[in-house]
Amino acid sequence: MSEGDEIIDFKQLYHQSPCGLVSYALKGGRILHANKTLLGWLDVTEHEIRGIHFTELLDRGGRLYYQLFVYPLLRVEQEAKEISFQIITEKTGFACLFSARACLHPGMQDPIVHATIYKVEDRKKYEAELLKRKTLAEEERQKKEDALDEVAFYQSHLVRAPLANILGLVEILEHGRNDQDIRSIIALLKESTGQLDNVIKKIVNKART
Amino acid sequence: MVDVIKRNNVRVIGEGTRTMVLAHGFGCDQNVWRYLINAFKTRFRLVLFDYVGAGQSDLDAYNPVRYNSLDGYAKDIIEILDALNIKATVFVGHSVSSMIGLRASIMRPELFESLIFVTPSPCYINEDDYTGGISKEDLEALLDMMDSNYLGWSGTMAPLIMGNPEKPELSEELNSNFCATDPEIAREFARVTFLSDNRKDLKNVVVPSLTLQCVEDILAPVAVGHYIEKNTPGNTLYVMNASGHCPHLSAPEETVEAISAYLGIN
Repeated sequence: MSEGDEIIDFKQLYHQSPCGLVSYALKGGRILHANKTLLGWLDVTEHEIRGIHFTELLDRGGRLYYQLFVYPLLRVEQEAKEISFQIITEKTGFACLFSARACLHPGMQDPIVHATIYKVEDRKKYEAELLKRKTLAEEERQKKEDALDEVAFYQSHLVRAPLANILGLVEILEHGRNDQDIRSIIALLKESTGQLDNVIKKIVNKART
Repeated sequence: MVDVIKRNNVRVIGEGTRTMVLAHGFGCDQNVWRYLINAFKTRFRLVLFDYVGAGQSDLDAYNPVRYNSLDGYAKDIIEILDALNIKATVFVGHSVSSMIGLRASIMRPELFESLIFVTPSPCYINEDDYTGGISKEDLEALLDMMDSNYLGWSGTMAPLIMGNPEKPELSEELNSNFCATDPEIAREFARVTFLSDNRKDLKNVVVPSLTLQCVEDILAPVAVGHYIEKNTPGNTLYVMNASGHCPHLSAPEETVEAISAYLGIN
């Protein structure tokens, strides 16, 4: 026995830990034990929590996530680390980080899961803020990409059409025969330059937004 | 020519005249089959693989258009079987893989001897008088959960997952992250999985099939098993004593017994 063992009261350490501690059967998820920290957070008694299935403490998304990812990890790797869950009960609700190990105990066929639960309310808000910024930045980038695509489309197609008209009309103008022909060609040229001007204005406006 | 063996991290193990393909479900990779591998490796030639985006598959091979429906994954299975020159295999699919196998069997029935569905669902979302088990809100909640849990995956992990044969010491790290997947791909796979509706395909199955359904499975309730049995020609339903969505992990003995009984082996 080392010196530390005499100083540390393990029962007190278990119950007064700054994190929630819970043990449950991996198969079925029935809770066997919880420390006083967790019972206090959940506002339930030891008696009340026994027999509840661990996933009943989670929200619906958390329950699905547990079945899809956490349970297989605990089965195959005997360990799951830093899973972000939302605890929801009739009396309370809080964000937490869940880490767990599945351990085989002598005389028991199926492993017991020992889990720690850390309340992470403030960190969760910070994470949500970061995630929001990331989504916004991605949306902004997508918007810019779409605008650039549109500009490229305008340049290649819409600018080319009136410009091709103008080039053709100038060609005809060079070989113009009489004043009436020239006047009608100038009228067509005005129309095409007007169209070109409009398209360019649209591109400029697009680039500004 | 695409190297499908590398793309899907295909492994062939075991001995036997019959072949059994083990197809993992959404969320993890071929590591989930460890108990079934031990039980069947002396009697079957076992084919294991990771879907593109999962495990140690080639992430660069992920094509959002191809994998926009379960058919992209079904084609991968057909390509794996063709590459290995396998005909008439037993196909065991967990969860979403059941319907992927079913689609593959409709495209190329001659490749399949029988289909074994482990906790399958032809449609996960509840609709009118059909009980799938989850609602659209549940799916959104699940996607939110996935967004806030990358399970050890990060940008710095990507090169590891893509495979690093020159650094074998990394494999240990990889094994402890067998559920780690590129979050974008995982999100898309979740969407394709949980919004898929294969109810109309059930009647077109010509290969005999077995459905293993568990009690208290929030992703695929027993009612879904009854629906499949009623609407699929040649389907047998076996409701297990096991609970949850992963009987091959939680109750491997019962799973092996049920499959063995159906395949006529002892």
